[in-house]
Amino acid sequence: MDLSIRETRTTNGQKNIILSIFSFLRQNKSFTVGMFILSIIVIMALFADFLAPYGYAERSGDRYEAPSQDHPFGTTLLGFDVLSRVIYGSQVALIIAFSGTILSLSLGVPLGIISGYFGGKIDRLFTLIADSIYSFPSLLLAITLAIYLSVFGVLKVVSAVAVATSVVYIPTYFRVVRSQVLQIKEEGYVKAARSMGAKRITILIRYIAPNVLASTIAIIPFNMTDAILTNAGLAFLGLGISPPTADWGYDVYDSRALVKVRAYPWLILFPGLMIFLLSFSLSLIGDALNDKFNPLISQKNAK
Amino acid sequence: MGSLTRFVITRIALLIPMIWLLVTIVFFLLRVLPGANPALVMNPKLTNEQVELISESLGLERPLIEQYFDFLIKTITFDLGVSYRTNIDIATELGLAFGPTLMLSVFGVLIGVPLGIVMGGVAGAHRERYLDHIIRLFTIGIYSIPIFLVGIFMQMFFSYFIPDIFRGNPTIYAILKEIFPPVSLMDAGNTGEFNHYTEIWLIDTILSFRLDLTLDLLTHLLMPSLALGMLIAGVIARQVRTNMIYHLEQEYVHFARARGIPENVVKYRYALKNSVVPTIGLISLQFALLLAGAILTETTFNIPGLGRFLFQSLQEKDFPAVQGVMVLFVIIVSIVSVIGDVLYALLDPRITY
Repeated sequence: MDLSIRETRTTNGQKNIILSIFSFLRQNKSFTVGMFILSIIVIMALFADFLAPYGYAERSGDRYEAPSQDHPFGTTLLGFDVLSRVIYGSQVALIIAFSGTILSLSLGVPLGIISGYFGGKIDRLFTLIADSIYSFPSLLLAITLAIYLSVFGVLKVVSAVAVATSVVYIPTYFRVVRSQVLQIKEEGYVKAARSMGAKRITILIRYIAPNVLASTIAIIPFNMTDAILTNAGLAFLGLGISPPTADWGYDVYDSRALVKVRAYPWLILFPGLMIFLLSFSLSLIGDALNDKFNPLISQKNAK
Repeated sequence: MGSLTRFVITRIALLIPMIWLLVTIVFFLLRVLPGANPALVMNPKLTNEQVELISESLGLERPLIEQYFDFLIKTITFDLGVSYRTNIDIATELGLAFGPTLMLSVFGVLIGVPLGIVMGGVAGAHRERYLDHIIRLFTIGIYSIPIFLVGIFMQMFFSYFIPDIFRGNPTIYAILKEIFPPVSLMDAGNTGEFNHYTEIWLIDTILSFRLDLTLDLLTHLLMPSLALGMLIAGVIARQVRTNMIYHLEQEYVHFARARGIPENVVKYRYALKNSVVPTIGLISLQFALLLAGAILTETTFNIPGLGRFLFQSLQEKDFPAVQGVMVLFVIIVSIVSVIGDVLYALLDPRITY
């Protein structure tokens, strides 16, 4: 990504950064397709009030109406419009994906920087904790946290699921960032800054943090995918967001019985498809970024 | 004593602190974090009588540190308490549920690992060409579908949709219905027809000389194992592809080509072999994913394993049972990580300890 942007800039001047973004998009089809699907879902979430024909918990039809002109995706047991629930569900899914990711980033990255930079006892303690959380089965951790957070009522249920999924990812950021910091702190410019008497906090924030953040970029989309899938998994185990909030995971859970799937396939098909599309678009983006940032894959032979 | 033997012994010895650490996390999560009686936190509708009974059996009125040591001793002796739901000793329940989960995981790995290695190898060898793109779409796609949806759609497709096409032909219809039975691990009632020596039904049916039941069991395992196997295959294929791309650019590969060794031998014997070995470590790390997959697959296919046991305990808010399953899962994870490390050491001759 870096290379292509720099090349266009030198030949065409500063203002053609848009052109260089286009050239990057043309080279990375999976990135482009992923971004396209993702932006449609984001638009759905932002303008849900205008796009949805009915409210997500509004009795707008009879029970189990098959897809028709009035209800393109059919209706549920309570007569809710499935299309509207699918559209509103994108809000919940994106909130969980984004808040979960921000939460784990904002804990994992600073802890990784501190651990890697200061070393010693802090480092050993943090690494031990991170490693044990890392080897703990993530769904179990999420299950436990989801039970408590939802029962306590301290947090709203949406954020409970986000917290549960984000805790699992903190060690991933921690590990990557820590190993990066270990490398970067031996670089010449950091040593130079230190020799000139720069404060520790300045070195951390101005010299180390920006260089470390690049290594986390490729993890973020996968983190979001896992947040969505864990949320769906929790919902499937009956621990997800409680109705009547529109949540794809809950809608799938509610219509999972085979008898129901056979009789009213639209109930599971559309929310299931949306979970797939959102995770798929994020994974496509993540995969493209991984190819760019993975140190094992060199760029010289890539088209 | 050889260095490998010493490594294996140290690694097995390290199992104890690892299990201790993870069991401590379970204790912290289930006993310290809720603050009050954890069973009550999980299920606020318990009667006073039940609450007293639980706090007595968990020793909740004693100081935390005493509870902790009590918990450790009970874990070592596998005294996990009694389930509220079934009134059966939880260790016994877990023993019964372990077999189905083991069978499902083993078959999932047996399908998933070879499939993943082949797909990853082919994708890496065809980097940025259409085979690579197709495999990439498959691996990303399968990762993006929640595994329970894969299960549900497979059941719909193979157990109902395909047989329905052949409704006019009773023989084919019957055969298809036989190969792709819709639910559960065995046809109802069959479990009473063989001797339960090990509770791993596959072995039990063979030992009881009921090969017809073995076949029945295998057909019931086919779809769940495929669902789980595809998930595993996707994860492994991605890793193998990355390693493959790395190895195909190494000098030994160029050198092998220069010596005139056939291209397919260079790719699929030299490079692929080296790409697969580090993946062994990954498989044990990804075991948590496999467990999560198994929990959800069992729930989808109604397999009476550990995952479904956890699901039912969660539905009934059965605190001791949830705690018991977690302890067992943690022990399994630790043991698998050791097996992974030992396998890795056996396969990679460069590693000396």
